[in-house]
Parts: sequence; structure tokens; C-alpha cells
Amino acid sequence: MLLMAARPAPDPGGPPAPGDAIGPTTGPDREVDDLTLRLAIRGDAVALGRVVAHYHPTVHALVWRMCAGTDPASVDDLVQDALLRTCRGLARFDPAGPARPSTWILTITTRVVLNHRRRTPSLPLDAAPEPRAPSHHGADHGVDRATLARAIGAAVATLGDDQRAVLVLREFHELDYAAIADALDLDVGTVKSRLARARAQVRAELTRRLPDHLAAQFGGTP
Amino acid sequence: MTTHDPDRLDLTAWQPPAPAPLDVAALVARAAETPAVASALEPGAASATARAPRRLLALAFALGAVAAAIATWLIVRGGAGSDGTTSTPTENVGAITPPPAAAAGPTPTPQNSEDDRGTGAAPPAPVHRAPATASDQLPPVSDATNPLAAACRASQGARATTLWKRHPDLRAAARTSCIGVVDAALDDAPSCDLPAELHDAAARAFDDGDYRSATVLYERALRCSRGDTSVPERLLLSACRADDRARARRYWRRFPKLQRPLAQACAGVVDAASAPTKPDCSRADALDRAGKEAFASGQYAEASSIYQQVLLCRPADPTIQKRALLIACRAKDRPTAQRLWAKYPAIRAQLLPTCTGVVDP
Repeated sequence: MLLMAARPAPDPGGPPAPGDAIGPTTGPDREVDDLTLRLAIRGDAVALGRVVAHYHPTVHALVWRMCAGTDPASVDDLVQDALLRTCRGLARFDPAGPARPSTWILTITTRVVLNHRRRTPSLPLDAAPEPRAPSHHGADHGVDRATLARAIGAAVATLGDDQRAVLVLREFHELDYAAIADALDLDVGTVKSRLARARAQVRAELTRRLPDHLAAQFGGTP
Repeated sequence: MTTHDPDRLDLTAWQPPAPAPLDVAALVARAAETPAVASALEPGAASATARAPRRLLALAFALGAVAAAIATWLIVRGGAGSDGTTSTPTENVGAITPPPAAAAGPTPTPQNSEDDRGTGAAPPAPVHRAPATASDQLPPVSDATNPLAAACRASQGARATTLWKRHPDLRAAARTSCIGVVDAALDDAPSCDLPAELHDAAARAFDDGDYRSATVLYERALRCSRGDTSVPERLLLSACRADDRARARRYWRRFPKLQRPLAQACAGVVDAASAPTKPDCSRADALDRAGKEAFASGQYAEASSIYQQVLLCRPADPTIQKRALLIACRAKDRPTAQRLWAKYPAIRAQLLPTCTGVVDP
């Protein structure tokens, strides 16, 4: 029996999962299987290795997005630290509890990153505002995608760590408000307000940075 | 888990590069070295405020344990005797040694263990593990459903190539992951039916600093997506960074518009590029902004390339010098970082932490 069998099914009317060309994020079909998880909890080294390998891309994705633009040199170290803490703490994870393994691991990862950021302030180039990119109609999909990715990265980099954590956990890893609140030691109302502010700021940045035809999807000039 | 969220932003275009290969066996072994100790970073751990009283309690327990250990040692030492003979502690302390639990300090719970570590108390007994068997030797990273994809993601070229040959049924699902790892994956792909995947694989190789693979992949992407203006630039830049002189010369001639922006990157690889070619310095501010934006979005290799151009326009500007070196170090662009490190000694001290491991101080 798989662990996810006991989990509530995702809302079919909900938004599609983010593109996961690089590893999984979260979701019932992206959890490690129940047998492997239980063996890992009991300390089986092979199973523990499989759990680590399974969640490595997810942990890396979270750390990379939390550090992009401000502290990229620390990504690998933080990924390793988070996975190490996961290994050491997995014996206390309750597979019958309310949290999915991925949520539990993402919570540890988020706290590892935020603790690191508080200890070692980042060294951004600077925060000078950027002018709006010129509009270029007729550009092909590849260019648009690269432009969009770059602008999103730059926009997210303008957020403070707390807002960024809420946004990344919600938009990319699909954690619900309660899980985010638990991960960040906040109440749900604070999570919602931070998320709203983060989205507004990212939307404004994207509208400012992107050419018109790309900005339109974020509420920019059509 | 997921609920409908009308305010949700579509940010899926921003994807991370493939993670660096992880030595899972070493990590698990390292985790096993230290017994399981609950951390305040784990979900469910109490906040710092709530932990404060427990911290005092843990400190008291630890001090008690230390006091008991000292008392035991003194008694044992006294019992060992004035006759100069020695005894092992276990010979004498049967009734005196505190129980193991007390000697080791309080048994940590998920709430108190972080505090225990802070006070130096010993951690609890290790989590019970099954007896070690031959199967405990971790196999290479595997995936229950598609070991070929797993081998490709782990960049295990030999294993992936073998699996590719033996299991044609796994190829379709693994092809995207295997481009750049298994040569046949690229050849096997129907011509130009995977432009996005090809572009992604090339971008991953480029971002990982694997410029040789990136050159091959971008060369293929060039044939498939002729309208994408970013491909020729990435291709020539990859060829120059890979020191692939033949391809670099070929594309240098083919894309004359790129000669100016990539002159710095290709100097020493393409003879014509070695003559310093100053970029259009009226665009220096725009280049500076583009470099910052590329940096902010995590495109460090591209940002490094852009700042080499800015530096040609403003060679005496210490801010530009610092940015160029900082980005080169973060991009792990060793040749550029080393060159700038040698050229601008005044900024070394500020960037030593960032550049350690990239340049040779």
C-alpha cells in the first residue's frame, strides 16, 4: 500500500502543477513510496539513500529559488545541510500523521535556508531599478521563455526572505497555507497577507520589466 | 494540498538548473555517524521563545550529569587504590555509576534536543538500525520506474549508455534527461521534434559549466530553432569557453554580429577575437543593467560575459571591476576570475570569501 493512498486527493479543479522539467515539486504522485519511507524511518541505509535521491531535486529547487540572485554560491552547501538534517530526523517522521514527507522535508529546507540567510547576509550587486524592456513583437517562443524566466528571477529576487519563502513554497511547491504557516512559524493570516504582498510586488516588477506582450499575462499593458 | 487559487501567478518559466550530482552514500553515511537528534528546524519543533525554559532545564540536567561523572571518577580513583594498582571503571563502579540515561543527559525529545546540543549534553542512543548486510552498500542512484532516466540525471554516462542499449522501452521517457549524457539520445531523437527539451538540455549544460556538451547541444539546437537569436550567441560562447577552436572559428565567421559582444570571451580561442575589440560603449549602461538582471535571475555565465563587455568600456571603474570579478567567481568562470583577480588587486580583499576555491590567491 502506498503512503499516498491515505492522503486526500488533490483538488481536480485546482491549478495545474508547475512545470517540472527539473525534478518533482510535491504532490501525491511525487512522494516516495510507502515501503521505502518506512524502511528509511527504521534506519535502512539503502532506503534512506533512495529517499534522499528522490527528494534531492525538490530540495535543490527550493534552495535555488530562495538563493537566486543573492547567494548562489551557498546553494549546494544548503542542499546538503537540509538533506543531512532530513536523514537525521527522519526517524521522528510519522508517516500516519497529517504531513506529507515532501512537506516535512520542505519545511526543514526552508528553515535551513532562512537561518543561513539571517546569519550571513547576502551580497547582492545592488538594487537599482531597471527600466522596462523594449517591446519586440514577433519574437519566437524560445526567446520569450528565456526573457520571462529571467524577469521572474529578477522580480523574485527583489522580495525579502520572508516574502520570498512564502511565495516560493506556495507558487512552486504548492504547499497550502497551513503547511506554510507551520514551516515559517506564522499564523495563517500572516501567510496570506505576505503572499498577497509578494504576488503584488512580483506582478508589478514583471509588468515593469517585461515587454508588453509578455507583461499582459500578469496584468500589464496588453 | 492544493486548492484553487485565482490569484496564482504563472511563474513556471523560472526553473532551476539540474542539481549538482549528490554523493548519496556519503551523505547517508555522514548522517549515520551522528545519532538522530531532533532539530528545532524540524516541523513541530517549538519556537525559540517556547524553548527557553527547556533550555534551562537541559542545562541543569547536563550540569548534573557532569557532576555525577566527576563524582564517579573521584570515587573510582579512590577505590583504585592507594596501592597504585589500576582498575577499569567497570570493575568498581557497579553501584555508583549513574544509570546510562543520567550519564548521557536527558533523553531528547523533538522539543528539547536542540537545546541539548547547545549545552553539550550527549545525544540519545542511535536509532536502531537493521544489521548491516551486503545490501546496505548503496547501489548507484536508481529509480524504480526508470533506471535509465535516473542514470542520466546522475550523469552516469557509462551506465546510462548501457541501459540505453539494453532497454529501448525506457528511452522515450528518459530521452530528455539523457540528451548530453548518452550520445545516442541526441541521434535517436527525431530531427527537431524536441526543440524546447534540446534547448533546456543545452542550457543546463551551459549553466553547469559543461561547455563541451553545451556546444554540441546548441549546435543541434541551431539547426532546429533558426529563429531563436539566443542560440548562436550561446553556441559561440560555449565553443569559446570549451576551447573548441574549430567550432569557435566556424561560428565566429558565420555570425559577425556576435564578434563584438563575444570578443572578450573568445580571445585566445579565435585569432581574430584576440585583437581587443571595444564594444559600443554608448550602450554601457544598458549592458550594465542587462548584466545585473542576468545575475539576479541566476544566469551567472551570461552575466559574467556581459560584464566583460562593460569592463572594456569602463576599465577604471572600481564598481564594475568588483561586479565583474564577483560574477566571474560565482559563475565559477575560472579563467576570467583568475585574470581579473590578478589584474585588480585592490578589490581582492572584499571578494576573497566569494572567490575562494575559484581563484588561486
